[in-house]
Amino acid sequence: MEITRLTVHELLELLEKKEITREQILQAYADRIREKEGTVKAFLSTYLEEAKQEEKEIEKALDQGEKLSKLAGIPIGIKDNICTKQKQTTCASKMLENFISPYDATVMENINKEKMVTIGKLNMDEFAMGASTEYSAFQKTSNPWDITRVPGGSSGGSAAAVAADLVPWALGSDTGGSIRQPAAFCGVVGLKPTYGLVSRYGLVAFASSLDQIGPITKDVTDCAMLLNVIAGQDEKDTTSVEQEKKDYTKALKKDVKGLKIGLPKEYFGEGINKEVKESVLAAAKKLEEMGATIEECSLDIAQYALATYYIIACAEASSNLGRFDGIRYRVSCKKL
Amino acid sequence: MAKVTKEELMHIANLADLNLKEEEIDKYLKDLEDILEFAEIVNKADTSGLEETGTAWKRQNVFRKDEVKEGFSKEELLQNAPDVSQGMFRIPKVMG
Repeated sequence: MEITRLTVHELLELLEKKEITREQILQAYADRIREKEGTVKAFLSTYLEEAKQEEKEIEKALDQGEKLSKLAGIPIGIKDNICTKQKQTTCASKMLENFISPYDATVMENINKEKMVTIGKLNMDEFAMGASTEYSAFQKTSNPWDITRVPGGSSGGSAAAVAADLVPWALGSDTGGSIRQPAAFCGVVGLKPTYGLVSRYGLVAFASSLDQIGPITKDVTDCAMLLNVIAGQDEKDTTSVEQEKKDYTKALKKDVKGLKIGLPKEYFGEGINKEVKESVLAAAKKLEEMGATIEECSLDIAQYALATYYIIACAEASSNLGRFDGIRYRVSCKKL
Repeated sequence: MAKVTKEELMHIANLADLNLKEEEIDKYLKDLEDILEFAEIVNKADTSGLEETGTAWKRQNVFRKDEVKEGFSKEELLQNAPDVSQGMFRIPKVMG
Protein backbone atom coordinates (compact mmCIF):
# COMPACT_ATOMS: atom_id res chain seq x y z
CA MET A 1 0.00 0.00 0.00
CA GLU A 2 1.36 3.37 -0.99
CA ILE A 3 0.18 5.84 1.63
CA THR A 4 0.67 8.92 -0.56
CA ARG A 5 -1.65 7.56 -3.27
CA LEU A 6 -4.61 7.52 -0.86
CA THR A 7 -7.29 10.16 -0.43
CA VAL A 8 -7.74 11.79 2.97
CA HIS A 9 -10.98 9.90 3.65
CA GLU A 10 -9.14 6.65 2.93
CA LEU A 11 -6.34 7.68 5.30
CA LEU A 12 -8.93 8.44 8.00
CA GLU A 13 -10.49 4.98 7.58
CA LEU A 14 -7.09 3.32 8.01
CA LEU A 15 -6.35 5.49 11.05
CA GLU A 16 -9.72 4.53 12.52
CA LYS A 17 -8.92 0.83 12.03
CA LYS A 18 -5.44 1.47 13.48
CA GLU A 19 -3.82 0.04 10.35
CA ILE A 20 -1.53 3.07 10.00
CA THR A 21 -0.28 5.81 12.28
CA ARG A 22 -0.10 9.58 11.82
CA GLU A 23 3.66 9.31 12.05
CA GLN A 24 3.72 6.88 9.11
CA ILE A 25 1.55 9.22 7.05
CA LEU A 26 3.83 12.19 7.70
CA GLN A 27 6.95 10.11 7.02
CA ALA A 28 5.48 8.82 3.74
CA TYR A 29 4.94 12.40 2.54
CA ALA A 30 8.40 13.49 3.72
CA ASP A 31 9.94 10.60 1.74
CA ARG A 32 7.82 11.33 -1.31
CA ILE A 33 8.80 15.02 -1.25
CA ARG A 34 12.48 14.11 -0.94
CA GLU A 35 12.15 11.79 -3.93
CA LYS A 36 10.00 13.88 -6.32
CA GLU A 37 10.13 17.56 -5.38
CA GLY A 38 13.38 18.09 -7.31
CA THR A 39 11.45 17.22 -10.49
CA VAL A 40 8.08 18.82 -9.76
CA LYS A 41 9.28 22.00 -7.95
CA ALA A 42 5.89 22.60 -6.36
CA PHE A 43 7.11 24.02 -3.02
CA LEU A 44 8.54 27.42 -2.19
CA SER A 45 9.22 26.27 1.39
CA THR A 46 8.77 23.06 3.38
CA TYR A 47 8.26 22.64 7.11
CA LEU A 48 8.79 18.90 7.62
CA GLU A 49 10.72 19.15 10.90
CA GLU A 50 8.11 21.49 12.38
CA ALA A 51 5.40 19.11 11.14
CA LYS A 52 7.08 16.17 12.90
CA GLN A 53 7.17 18.19 16.11
CA GLU A 54 3.47 19.04 15.76
CA GLU A 55 2.69 15.39 15.11
CA LYS A 56 4.49 14.36 18.32
CA GLU A 57 2.46 16.90 20.29
CA ILE A 58 -0.75 15.53 18.77
CA GLU A 59 0.19 11.98 19.86
CA LYS A 60 0.99 13.27 23.33
CA ALA A 61 -2.38 15.02 23.58
CA LEU A 62 -4.19 11.89 22.39
CA ASP A 63 -2.26 9.74 24.89
CA GLN A 64 -3.43 12.05 27.63
CA GLY A 65 -7.02 11.42 26.57
CA GLU A 66 -7.59 14.76 24.86
CA LYS A 67 -10.34 14.72 22.25
CA LEU A 68 -9.03 16.00 18.91
CA SER A 69 -10.52 16.44 15.45
CA LYS A 70 -10.36 13.34 13.26
CA LEU A 71 -8.26 15.43 10.86
CA ALA A 72 -5.53 15.91 13.48
CA GLY A 73 -2.12 15.13 12.02
CA ILE A 74 -3.29 15.11 8.38
CA PRO A 75 -0.75 17.05 6.26
CA ILE A 76 -1.76 19.92 3.98
CA GLY A 77 0.00 22.23 1.51
CA ILE A 78 -0.87 25.95 1.32
CA LYS A 79 -0.59 28.32 -1.63
CA ASP A 80 2.05 30.94 -0.82
CA ASN A 81 -0.37 33.90 -0.93
CA ILE A 82 -2.24 32.71 2.19
CA CYS A 83 -0.73 34.23 5.35
CA THR A 84 0.79 31.76 7.79
CA LYS A 85 2.19 32.91 11.11
CA GLN A 86 5.85 31.94 11.54
CA LYS A 87 6.01 30.53 8.01
CA GLN A 88 6.96 32.53 4.93
CA THR A 89 4.36 34.05 2.60
CA THR A 90 6.10 35.27 -0.56
CA CYS A 91 3.31 35.36 -3.20
CA ALA A 92 6.17 34.02 -5.38
CA SER A 93 7.48 37.60 -5.52
CA LYS A 94 10.87 39.05 -4.66
CA MET A 95 8.98 41.95 -3.08
CA LEU A 96 7.88 39.60 -0.28
CA GLU A 97 10.90 37.28 -0.35
CA ASN A 98 11.49 37.58 3.41
CA PHE A 99 7.96 38.36 4.52
CA ILE A 100 6.73 36.57 7.65
CA SER A 101 3.11 37.39 8.47
CA PRO A 102 2.44 38.43 12.07
CA TYR A 103 -0.93 36.65 11.89
CA ASP A 104 -2.66 33.60 10.43
CA ALA A 105 -5.28 33.90 7.70
CA THR A 106 -8.73 32.88 8.98
CA VAL A 107 -8.59 29.69 6.87
CA MET A 108 -5.29 28.85 8.61
CA GLU A 109 -6.90 29.38 12.02
CA ASN A 110 -9.58 26.90 10.95
CA ILE A 111 -6.97 24.41 9.71
CA ASN A 112 -4.92 24.79 12.90
CA LYS A 113 -8.05 24.27 15.00
CA GLU A 114 -8.40 20.87 13.32
CA LYS A 115 -4.73 20.25 14.18
CA MET A 116 -3.86 19.58 10.55
CA VAL A 117 -0.15 20.07 9.85
CA THR A 118 1.10 22.48 7.19
CA ILE A 119 4.05 20.77 5.49
CA GLY A 120 4.82 23.47 2.95
CA LYS A 121 3.95 26.63 1.04
CA LEU A 122 3.26 26.14 -2.65
CA ASN A 123 4.41 27.87 -5.80
CA MET A 124 2.20 30.14 -7.90
CA ASP A 125 2.32 32.87 -10.51
CA GLU A 126 3.58 36.06 -8.87
CA PHE A 127 0.72 37.65 -6.86
CA ALA A 128 -1.58 35.04 -8.49
CA MET A 129 -1.37 36.83 -11.84
CA GLY A 130 -0.93 34.19 -14.48
CA ALA A 131 -2.30 30.88 -15.65
CA SER A 132 0.78 28.64 -15.94
CA THR A 133 2.98 29.08 -12.81
CA GLU A 134 5.75 30.17 -15.22
CA TYR A 135 5.55 33.66 -13.76
CA SER A 136 6.78 32.79 -10.28
CA ALA A 137 9.83 34.91 -9.42
CA PHE A 138 11.53 31.81 -7.98
CA GLN A 139 10.91 28.68 -10.06
CA LYS A 140 8.73 27.01 -12.66
CA THR A 141 6.57 24.11 -11.47
CA SER A 142 6.22 21.09 -13.77
CA ASN A 143 3.05 19.22 -14.60
CA PRO A 144 3.60 15.83 -12.89
CA TRP A 145 1.90 13.97 -15.78
CA ASP A 146 4.41 15.37 -18.29
CA ILE A 147 7.19 17.48 -16.87
CA THR A 148 7.71 19.30 -20.18
CA ARG A 149 4.27 20.90 -19.72
CA VAL A 150 2.92 23.56 -17.36
CA PRO A 151 0.64 22.65 -14.42
CA GLY A 152 -1.64 25.62 -15.15
CA GLY A 153 -2.01 28.45 -12.68
CA SER A 154 -1.95 30.47 -10.75
CA SER A 155 -2.37 27.74 -8.08
CA GLY A 156 -0.05 25.48 -10.13
CA GLY A 157 2.08 24.48 -7.13
CA SER A 158 -1.01 23.35 -5.22
CA ALA A 159 -2.45 21.35 -8.13
CA ALA A 160 0.92 19.76 -9.05
CA ALA A 161 1.67 18.85 -5.41
CA VAL A 162 -1.68 17.04 -5.08
CA ALA A 163 -1.31 15.31 -8.46
CA ALA A 164 2.26 14.19 -7.65
CA ASP A 165 1.18 12.87 -4.21
CA LEU A 166 3.44 15.38 -2.41
CA VAL A 167 0.51 16.46 -0.21
CA PRO A 168 -2.84 14.70 0.32
CA TRP A 169 -4.65 17.98 -0.32
CA ALA A 170 -3.97 21.69 -0.61
CA LEU A 171 -5.48 25.16 -0.55
CA GLY A 172 -5.36 27.41 -3.59
CA SER A 173 -6.98 30.73 -4.47
CA ASP A 174 -9.13 31.57 -7.48
CA THR A 175 -9.79 35.02 -8.95
CA GLY A 176 -10.39 34.20 -12.62
CA GLY A 177 -9.83 30.44 -12.76
CA SER A 178 -6.68 30.05 -10.65
CA ILE A 179 -7.93 26.92 -8.82
CA ARG A 180 -10.16 25.37 -11.46
CA GLN A 181 -7.80 25.65 -14.42
CA PRO A 182 -4.65 24.14 -12.78
CA ALA A 183 -6.82 21.41 -11.19
CA ALA A 184 -8.01 20.56 -14.70
CA PHE A 185 -4.47 20.63 -16.12
CA CYS A 186 -3.24 18.27 -13.36
CA GLY A 187 -6.25 15.93 -13.26
CA VAL A 188 -7.30 16.70 -9.68
CA VAL A 189 -10.43 18.22 -8.10
CA GLY A 190 -10.52 22.00 -7.60
CA LEU A 191 -13.37 24.18 -6.36
CA LYS A 192 -13.84 27.92 -6.37
CA PRO A 193 -16.39 28.42 -3.59
CA THR A 194 -19.19 30.95 -4.10
CA TYR A 195 -17.88 34.44 -3.29
CA GLY A 196 -18.50 35.12 0.40
CA LEU A 197 -18.52 31.48 1.51
CA VAL A 198 -14.87 31.48 2.64
CA SER A 199 -13.16 34.35 4.51
CA ARG A 200 -10.49 36.21 2.53
CA TYR A 201 -8.84 37.58 5.68
CA GLY A 202 -5.11 36.88 5.33
CA LEU A 203 -5.26 36.13 1.60
CA VAL A 204 -2.92 38.61 -0.08
CA ALA A 205 -5.42 40.51 -2.22
CA PHE A 206 -5.29 40.50 -6.03
CA ALA A 207 -8.83 41.47 -7.12
CA SER A 208 -10.80 41.69 -3.89
CA SER A 209 -14.28 41.38 -5.36
CA LEU A 210 -13.36 38.13 -7.14
CA ASP A 211 -10.77 36.38 -4.89
CA GLN A 212 -11.79 33.19 -3.06
CA ILE A 213 -9.75 30.52 -1.28
CA GLY A 214 -10.71 26.94 -2.13
CA PRO A 215 -9.69 23.27 -1.91
CA ILE A 216 -7.59 21.23 -4.36
CA THR A 217 -7.97 17.51 -3.63
CA LYS A 218 -7.70 14.01 -5.07
CA ASP A 219 -11.47 13.39 -5.08
CA VAL A 220 -14.82 15.05 -4.50
CA THR A 221 -15.31 13.63 -0.98
CA ASP A 222 -12.03 15.18 0.17
CA CYS A 223 -13.08 18.44 -1.50
CA ALA A 224 -16.32 18.51 0.52
CA MET A 225 -14.41 17.69 3.72
CA LEU A 226 -11.88 20.49 3.23
CA LEU A 227 -14.66 22.95 2.31
CA ASN A 228 -16.31 22.03 5.64
CA VAL A 229 -13.15 23.20 7.40
CA ILE A 230 -12.69 26.55 5.61
CA ALA A 231 -16.27 27.77 4.97
CA GLY A 232 -17.94 30.16 7.37
CA GLN A 233 -18.65 33.79 8.17
CA ASP A 234 -15.78 35.82 9.59
CA GLU A 235 -16.11 39.25 11.16
CA LYS A 236 -12.66 40.08 9.75
CA ASP A 237 -14.01 39.80 6.17
CA THR A 238 -17.16 41.89 5.80
CA THR A 239 -17.93 40.26 2.44
CA SER A 240 -18.15 36.81 4.03
CA VAL A 241 -21.75 35.76 4.31
CA GLU A 242 -23.80 34.74 7.31
CA GLN A 243 -24.72 31.13 6.78
CA GLU A 244 -25.74 28.00 8.55
CA LYS A 245 -22.87 25.59 9.06
CA LYS A 246 -23.39 22.88 6.47
CA ASP A 247 -21.82 19.46 6.09
CA TYR A 248 -20.99 19.37 2.39
CA THR A 249 -20.22 15.63 2.47
CA LYS A 250 -23.99 15.11 3.08
CA ALA A 251 -24.61 16.49 -0.41
CA LEU A 252 -22.60 13.68 -1.98
CA LYS A 253 -24.80 10.96 -3.41
CA LYS A 254 -23.75 7.63 -4.71
CA ASP A 255 -24.94 8.30 -8.25
CA VAL A 256 -25.89 10.98 -10.77
CA LYS A 257 -29.39 9.69 -11.61
CA GLY A 258 -31.81 12.54 -12.18
CA LEU A 259 -29.07 15.17 -12.32
CA LYS A 260 -29.48 17.64 -15.19
CA ILE A 261 -26.19 18.89 -16.67
CA GLY A 262 -26.10 21.85 -19.04
CA LEU A 263 -23.53 22.26 -21.79
CA PRO A 264 -23.37 26.00 -22.60
CA LYS A 265 -23.08 26.16 -26.38
CA GLU A 266 -20.98 29.33 -26.20
CA TYR A 267 -18.12 27.32 -24.71
CA PHE A 268 -18.03 24.77 -27.53
CA GLY A 269 -17.73 27.23 -30.37
CA GLU A 270 -14.80 28.93 -31.99
CA GLY A 271 -11.39 28.50 -30.39
CA ILE A 272 -11.96 25.30 -28.43
CA ASN A 273 -9.17 22.73 -28.62
CA LYS A 274 -10.37 19.57 -30.42
CA GLU A 275 -8.98 17.19 -27.77
CA VAL A 276 -10.56 19.20 -24.96
CA LYS A 277 -13.92 19.23 -26.72
CA GLU A 278 -13.78 15.47 -27.32
CA SER A 279 -12.83 14.78 -23.69
CA VAL A 280 -15.62 16.94 -22.29
CA LEU A 281 -18.21 15.40 -24.62
CA ALA A 282 -16.95 11.90 -23.75
CA ALA A 283 -17.35 12.72 -20.04
CA ALA A 284 -20.86 14.05 -20.72
CA LYS A 285 -21.72 10.82 -22.53
CA LYS A 286 -20.40 8.75 -19.63
CA LEU A 287 -22.53 10.76 -17.18
CA GLU A 288 -25.54 10.27 -19.45
CA GLU A 289 -24.98 6.50 -19.42
CA MET A 290 -24.90 6.68 -15.63
CA GLY A 291 -28.34 8.28 -15.55
CA ALA A 292 -27.79 12.06 -15.81
CA THR A 293 -29.63 14.19 -18.35
CA ILE A 294 -27.42 16.22 -20.67
CA GLU A 295 -28.94 19.32 -22.24
CA GLU A 296 -27.47 22.04 -24.40
CA CYS A 297 -28.08 25.46 -22.93
CA SER A 298 -27.07 29.04 -23.65
CA LEU A 299 -25.15 31.51 -21.52
CA ASP A 300 -25.32 34.49 -23.85
CA ILE A 301 -23.71 36.82 -21.29
CA ALA A 302 -20.54 34.67 -21.45
CA GLN A 303 -19.35 36.86 -24.33
CA TYR A 304 -18.89 39.73 -21.85
CA ALA A 305 -17.15 37.68 -19.15
CA LEU A 306 -13.52 38.04 -20.24
CA ALA A 307 -13.75 41.76 -20.95
CA THR A 308 -15.52 42.40 -17.63
CA TYR A 309 -12.95 40.30 -15.81
CA TYR A 310 -9.99 42.18 -17.23
CA ILE A 311 -11.45 45.58 -16.41
CA ILE A 312 -12.32 44.64 -12.80
CA ALA A 313 -9.20 42.55 -12.08
CA CYS A 314 -6.71 45.12 -13.41
CA ALA A 315 -8.40 48.01 -11.62
CA GLU A 316 -8.55 46.22 -8.27
CA ALA A 317 -5.01 44.83 -8.63
CA SER A 318 -3.53 48.27 -9.30
CA SER A 319 -5.16 49.51 -6.10
CA ASN A 320 -4.27 46.44 -4.00
CA LEU A 321 -0.62 46.29 -5.03
CA GLY A 322 -0.01 49.90 -4.10
CA ARG A 323 0.88 48.70 -0.60
CA PHE A 324 4.08 47.10 -1.89
CA ASP A 325 5.72 50.49 -2.10
CA GLY A 326 8.70 49.35 -0.05
CA ILE A 327 7.65 51.22 3.08
CA ARG A 328 5.97 48.48 5.10
CA TYR A 329 7.68 45.47 3.52
CA ARG A 330 11.25 44.58 3.01
CA VAL A 331 12.18 45.75 -0.46
CA SER A 332 12.85 49.45 -0.63
CA CYS A 333 14.38 51.58 -3.36
CA LYS A 334 16.78 53.66 -1.31
CA LYS A 335 17.34 56.10 -4.11
CA LEU A 336 14.20 57.70 -5.40
CA MET B 1 -10.55 50.39 -32.28
CA ALA B 2 -9.89 52.69 -29.35
CA LYS B 3 -6.93 54.97 -29.80
CA VAL B 4 -4.70 56.38 -27.11
CA THR B 5 -2.30 59.11 -28.15
CA LYS B 6 1.28 59.27 -26.99
CA GLU B 7 0.51 62.58 -25.28
CA GLU B 8 -2.31 60.99 -23.26
CA LEU B 9 -0.04 58.12 -22.26
CA MET B 10 2.75 60.45 -21.14
CA HIS B 11 0.25 62.53 -19.16
CA ILE B 12 -1.05 59.43 -17.31
CA ALA B 13 2.49 58.19 -16.72
CA ASN B 14 3.40 61.58 -15.29
CA LEU B 15 0.41 61.48 -12.91
CA ALA B 16 1.49 58.00 -11.77
CA ASP B 17 5.09 59.17 -11.33
CA LEU B 18 6.34 56.62 -13.87
CA ASN B 19 9.43 57.35 -15.91
CA LEU B 20 8.65 55.48 -19.11
CA LYS B 21 11.58 54.48 -21.26
CA GLU B 22 11.27 55.22 -24.96
CA GLU B 23 11.10 51.50 -25.82
CA GLU B 24 8.26 50.94 -23.30
CA ILE B 25 5.92 53.49 -24.88
CA ASP B 26 4.53 51.26 -27.64
CA LYS B 27 3.90 48.39 -25.22
CA TYR B 28 2.02 50.62 -22.77
CA LEU B 29 0.03 52.19 -25.60
CA LYS B 30 -1.11 48.73 -26.68
CA ASP B 31 -1.96 47.69 -23.10
CA LEU B 32 -4.12 50.78 -22.61
CA GLU B 33 -5.83 50.28 -25.94
CA ASP B 34 -6.60 46.66 -25.02
CA ILE B 35 -8.32 47.78 -21.82
CA LEU B 36 -10.35 50.40 -23.72
CA GLU B 37 -11.34 47.74 -26.20
CA PHE B 38 -12.59 45.56 -23.33
CA ALA B 39 -14.66 48.52 -22.15
CA GLU B 40 -16.15 48.83 -25.64
CA ILE B 41 -17.17 45.16 -25.58
CA VAL B 42 -18.90 45.60 -22.20
CA ASN B 43 -20.59 48.78 -23.45
CA LYS B 44 -22.36 46.70 -26.12
CA ALA B 45 -24.25 44.71 -23.47
CA ASP B 46 -27.94 45.60 -23.24
CA THR B 47 -28.58 46.37 -19.57
CA SER B 48 -31.97 48.06 -19.94
CA GLY B 49 -34.42 46.80 -17.33
CA LEU B 50 -31.68 45.27 -15.22
CA GLU B 51 -31.33 46.21 -11.58
CA GLU B 52 -27.97 47.60 -10.53
CA THR B 53 -26.02 44.97 -8.64
CA GLY B 54 -23.18 45.87 -6.29
CA THR B 55 -22.81 42.47 -4.70
CA ALA B 56 -24.59 39.18 -5.21
CA TRP B 57 -25.52 39.03 -1.51
CA LYS B 58 -26.96 42.56 -1.11
CA ARG B 59 -25.03 43.17 2.09
CA GLN B 60 -24.29 46.76 2.93
CA ASN B 61 -22.75 48.63 5.83
CA VAL B 62 -21.45 45.62 7.70
CA PHE B 63 -20.36 46.77 11.13
CA ARG B 64 -18.99 45.03 14.18
CA LYS B 65 -19.27 46.07 17.80
CA ASP B 66 -16.74 48.76 18.71
CA GLU B 67 -14.96 46.82 21.42
CA VAL B 68 -11.41 47.10 22.70
CA LYS B 69 -9.52 43.95 21.75
CA GLU B 70 -5.95 42.83 21.89
CA GLY B 71 -4.17 43.94 18.70
CA PHE B 72 -0.69 43.45 17.34
CA SER B 73 2.40 44.54 19.24
CA LYS B 74 4.62 47.25 17.80
CA GLU B 75 7.35 44.65 17.26
CA GLU B 76 5.02 42.41 15.24
CA LEU B 77 3.89 45.28 13.04
CA LEU B 78 7.43 46.45 12.38
CA GLN B 79 8.96 43.00 11.86
CA ASN B 80 8.75 43.26 8.06
CA ALA B 81 9.73 46.90 7.74
CA PRO B 82 12.79 47.61 5.57
CA ASP B 83 14.03 50.25 7.99
CA VAL B 84 13.05 51.10 11.56
CA SER B 85 14.02 54.00 13.79
CA GLN B 86 12.79 54.56 17.37
CA GLY B 87 9.85 52.20 16.88
CA MET B 88 8.74 53.84 13.63
CA PHE B 89 8.98 53.10 9.92
CA ARG B 90 11.91 55.03 8.47
CA ILE B 91 11.48 55.76 4.75
CA PRO B 92 13.42 57.66 2.13
CA LYS B 93 12.39 61.26 1.54
CA VAL B 94 9.46 61.25 -0.91
CA MET B 95 8.61 64.96 -1.17
CA GLY B 96 10.85 67.49 -2.86
